[in-house]
Amino acid sequence: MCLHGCGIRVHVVDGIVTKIEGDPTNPDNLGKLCPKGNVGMLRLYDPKRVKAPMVRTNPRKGPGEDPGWKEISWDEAMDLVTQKLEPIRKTDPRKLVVASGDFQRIFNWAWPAAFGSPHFFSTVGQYCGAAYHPINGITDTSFAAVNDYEYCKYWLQVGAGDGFSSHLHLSGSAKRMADARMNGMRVVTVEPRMSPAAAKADEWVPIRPGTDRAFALGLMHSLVFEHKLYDAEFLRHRTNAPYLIGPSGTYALSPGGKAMVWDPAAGRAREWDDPEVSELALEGRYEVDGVECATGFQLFLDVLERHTPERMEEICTVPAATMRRLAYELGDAAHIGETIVIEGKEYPYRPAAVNYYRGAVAHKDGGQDSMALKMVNTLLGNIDVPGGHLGVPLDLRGFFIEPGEHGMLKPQPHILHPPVPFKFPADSLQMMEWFPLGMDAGHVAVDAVLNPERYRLDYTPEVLLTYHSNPVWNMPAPDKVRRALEKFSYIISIDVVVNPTTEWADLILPDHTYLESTLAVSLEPPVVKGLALRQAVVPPLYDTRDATEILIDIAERCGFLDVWNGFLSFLLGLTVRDDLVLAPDRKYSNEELIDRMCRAAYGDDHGLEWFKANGHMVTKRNASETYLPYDGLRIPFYYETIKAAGIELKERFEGTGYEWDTTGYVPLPAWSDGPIHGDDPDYPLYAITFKTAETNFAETMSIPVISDLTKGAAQTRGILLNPATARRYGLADGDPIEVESRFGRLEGSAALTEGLHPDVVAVANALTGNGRKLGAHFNTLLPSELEYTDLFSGALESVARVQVRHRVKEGVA
Amino acid sequence: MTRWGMVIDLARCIGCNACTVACKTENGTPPDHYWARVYTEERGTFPDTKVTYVPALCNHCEDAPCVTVCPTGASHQRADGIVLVDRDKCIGCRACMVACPYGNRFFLRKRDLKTGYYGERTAYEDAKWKWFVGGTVTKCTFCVHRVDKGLEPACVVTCPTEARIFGDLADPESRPSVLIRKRNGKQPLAEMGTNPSVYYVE
Amino acid sequence: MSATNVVVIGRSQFTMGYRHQQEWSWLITTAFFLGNVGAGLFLVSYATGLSLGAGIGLLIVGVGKSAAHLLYLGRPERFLRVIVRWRTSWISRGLIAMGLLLVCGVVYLARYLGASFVPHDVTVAFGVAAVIAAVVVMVYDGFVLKASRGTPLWNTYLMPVLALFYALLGGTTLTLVVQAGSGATTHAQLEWLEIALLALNGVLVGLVIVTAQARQAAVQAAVALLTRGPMTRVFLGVAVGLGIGGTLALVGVSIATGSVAALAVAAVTDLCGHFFVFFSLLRVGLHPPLRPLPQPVAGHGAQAGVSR
Repeated sequence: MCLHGCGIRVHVVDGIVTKIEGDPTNPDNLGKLCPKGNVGMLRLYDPKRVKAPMVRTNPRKGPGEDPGWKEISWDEAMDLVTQKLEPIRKTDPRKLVVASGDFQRIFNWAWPAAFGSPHFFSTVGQYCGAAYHPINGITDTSFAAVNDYEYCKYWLQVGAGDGFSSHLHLSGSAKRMADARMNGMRVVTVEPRMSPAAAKADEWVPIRPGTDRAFALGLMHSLVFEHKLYDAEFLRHRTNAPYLIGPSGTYALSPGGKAMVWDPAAGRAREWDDPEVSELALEGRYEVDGVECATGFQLFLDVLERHTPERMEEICTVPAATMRRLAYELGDAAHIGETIVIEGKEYPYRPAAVNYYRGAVAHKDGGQDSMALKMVNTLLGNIDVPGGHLGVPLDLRGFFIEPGEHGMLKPQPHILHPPVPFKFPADSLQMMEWFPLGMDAGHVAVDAVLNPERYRLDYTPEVLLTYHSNPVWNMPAPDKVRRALEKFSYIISIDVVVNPTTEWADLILPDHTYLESTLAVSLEPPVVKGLALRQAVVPPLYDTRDATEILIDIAERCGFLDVWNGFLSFLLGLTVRDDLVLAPDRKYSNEELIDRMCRAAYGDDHGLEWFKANGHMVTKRNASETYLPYDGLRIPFYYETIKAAGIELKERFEGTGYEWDTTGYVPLPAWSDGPIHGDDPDYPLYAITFKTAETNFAETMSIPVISDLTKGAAQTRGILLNPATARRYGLADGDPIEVESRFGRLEGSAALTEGLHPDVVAVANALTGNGRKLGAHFNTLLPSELEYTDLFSGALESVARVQVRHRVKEGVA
Repeated sequence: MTRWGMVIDLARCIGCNACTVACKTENGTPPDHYWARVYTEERGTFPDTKVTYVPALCNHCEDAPCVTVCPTGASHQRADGIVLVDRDKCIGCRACMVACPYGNRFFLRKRDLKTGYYGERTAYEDAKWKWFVGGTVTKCTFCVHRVDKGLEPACVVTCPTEARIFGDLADPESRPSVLIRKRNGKQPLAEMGTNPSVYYVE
Repeated sequence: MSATNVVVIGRSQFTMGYRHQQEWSWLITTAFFLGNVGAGLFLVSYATGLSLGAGIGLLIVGVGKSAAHLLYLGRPERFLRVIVRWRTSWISRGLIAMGLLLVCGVVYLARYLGASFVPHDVTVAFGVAAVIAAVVVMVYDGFVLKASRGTPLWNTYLMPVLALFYALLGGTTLTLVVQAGSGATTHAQLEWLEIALLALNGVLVGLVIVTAQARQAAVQAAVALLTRGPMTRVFLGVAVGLGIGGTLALVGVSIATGSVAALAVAAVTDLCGHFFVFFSLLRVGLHPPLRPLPQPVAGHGAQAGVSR
């Protein structure tokens, strides 16, 4: 239903799930539950569920083709899988391509790697977190981040739904946000659309899509040059802002290989950890051993100088005066210099912060967008301190705190999987070998399947395995995805219901639903930590099997069970105890794995049986786990890591004769027009997409309660347009319209609202779902080309330039 | 004497529809029966737009027009103020639906019970729809089955922002009574003279 | 208020707007209409001593109105339960009156049907009772509408008055038809009564429209739908223009020329107008928005007009 794990209680009456409610003992969601969580049983009882393994009898595939499904036994099905996969595993495992979308069983994402398949043929973050997670990981080793619900007093929300409609653990976040607002926290929401976050905010600041970086730069310009409101002490002592940067853009190193700072008292550069340093210059240009250097902060000032609020206004449409006022309010509310004692320890107290997510950063230069917004926080000294912007770990493993070079916290851009060493040509279809810091750009895999020569592929993919993933629906340019599917000789799907991608499958292996299976989860929890057990509340309704066991079975049949058991031992955290590490050649059941996972985390008295009786080990994170957990290590202000990675990548490509753009590897954000900016007379408007609470994460439109609701709800009843814009194109509310970009078009009915920037066409993700006959599928407007991809982070430009017009009936001249 | 009522805090509500869905699954209501729901109200012109989410449910009016017009006594009010429809008495004349100013009553066609949410009835619907009688009118019961056991209505329990506050309006110190007093609670369409047991605070 | 600014939302739509009562439509209009004209025919025929007309009136009520109600009800087999709430419910009262009308009317008519054993006093007594019941049947639907507080357009005493005089009009019309059809002498006074009632009903309908300006926004919105919206053709064209204007002209022709054909056509236009007056009023029954809407913003109409 969702990738997160709110605590739930399920009522089962006479063997039927009749009600799901929030678990009041779980400090995560505090007994609250979002609309999706409330209606989970309809997925269980969906008549469209796959009830047994099914094999395709109609060899023709495509829209309108009936696959002619025939149910077969599990033995037959697994034999088929073995026939297809075993030879590939033995010869060239790269020929298997996996599309995985099961976030809850995120450990299974590593299964393709155990097989030897390096691919990612699905959406993982190109529309949402691709630019967000690496910046978080590089900054403070977190996976996600959110402002401090408990102490924040001024919350500037930019392109995010946290606390209102989407993103991290909605139910609990909404409760915390509401409480904070009622306790006087000011919320200002910067967004093209009047989302719930904007509706509930004290102030809504409409902005042109894809220009949030310009807003952040204008804000910082005003903070630094006009209001002089920034936390110099934090920058000096807790970041690399004072480190000297050489002409190449990387640290100027001492003969001993250490980063240097400028000591104004001594009038010379010293190594960063030189005990003699009494004072650190934050600003300035200095000559060190004949080389021109500047502090990271100075370079930031140089860039910032060009980004005046007036110039940024022209780009983002937010009035310069508004930017100035918001900068002052934010800086003033940050209480720079003040401290607070929590649980006996003194911390900086910065109760003002910017919170941002995909709306702000899922763009062609998303890495810079993400960096710019993060830097507003760093500038205020509010990173990981009470009231500020707090890192959120991916899972139970928490933050990956290790000392890095030069007194810095070691950057952790890759939290989903280890970094993939450079290789040319790349093995992976998403070219992960060429993204030293970014995330898997699944859409690149589609482009590569269709244009193997463009990427110099030296093999041909043969078999696709989709696992709780629906690439036809979740990737940009769905027509291209369909054409890519035609390239595979065999498609295997592991899923619960038939979806637009499994319709292309040759074989479907049905998984249990979450109410029929057992799992211990802890994903992206703000505020809390600890595993919660998702246990089977009813026996499987049909002849289904747990996907974890299906994958183990395939591993055994294809001869890599030992490898996979090794991976699982690591991924489930079993390596902490030798006796819990999986034996290489033994097949474990899902419940055995979960039991070991629980015992590894909490000891033998907290195995699966304990969890079945008690539900969860979720507790609120205490102050020392939340605030500055890496105290004593510096975090980046100047993103030297990114610059260095870019230089290294460029060097790697030298000699290959291959053009790969590395200009996105910048240490500081600046404004430059991307492919969607500027005047575009043919496509004058900006199309955006958004989520609502009932469609937050994962598609739920196949659940009729949800799809019915979206048809009547104000934000999802049609394609949103500002009335003034609609008038310009002669459109009225309810009119059938079409929206066209350079890459595709969609249809729907116009829904007029004053809560939308006049430059914008807004298409809810609810309109894209399977539940509607005439789906206005936003992704059809998007490209999947590299020109629209951030080659640093993997983010795709998720805004499309479009034109809008009355829909002309087909066949009418 | 208890008078059950609810205060809806419009400042808290984020329009997430958790209440809408929790109501549907608690009571197993058929398609298009929204005993609880959330309206979106938009005022002003861009950029000075104001959007308010307004949750709605049966107001369990003290002077309930639906009860007055009911010819069979199916619509009735309990001593604690809860307005209910007796499914065994209702003849489906729908006078109550026309009389209710709030649109909080729903007519259940017999054929609606045959098809269910998916075009065929599921085990969930078989289990939940036992207490629905085709050809009658349904409405929010204030989750009377829960309230009589000392629990709060499902929409209240699930609400992520705690925008729905349930309690005894006859008790001046109950949470809703205090909120109504402190924040100038207003009844919906008060001019209709129905004296609703639901109040809104902004 | 112009109808294009009236935001009317459907029953599963969640934008703020007027909600449209969608339950009472053709069948309830038919039931009300048949009750009105049936009881009216009984009453006028009683007054003019036209037993055939009285009998037909009873048939219209007993068969036509009953059938329309039974077809409409969700649980018709529980029909008899309606009588229990006569203290508060006008539906109860109306249906009790309908039963009384049928029983008393049949007893009253029994003598004319050859049951000469029925004593004269009994006939008179039951006749009077039947007339009283008929009057109740003629007005009760107006009171049903009046009692529907949720639909402010109807929440006015104009509704029972309108029902009463339309019932009288319909009764008069049908009496004239029965008279003409049965070859009985036409009472000229009856035709003049017809004209007077037509004029009076015209005034009453006008009052509904005119007084709306002084009433709630929901009434004004409903009236906008009637006069400048999707129901305008039916309401102004059929119900008022044809039903009142056309009928007046035709009755005038009938008086002037004695044309039975004109009278017959007038009967059709009158009954048609009668039906559609009430049909229109039912169809534009709007519930007010949960919170008062701001003055309509140009372009912000979720759906203008009556949605279905």
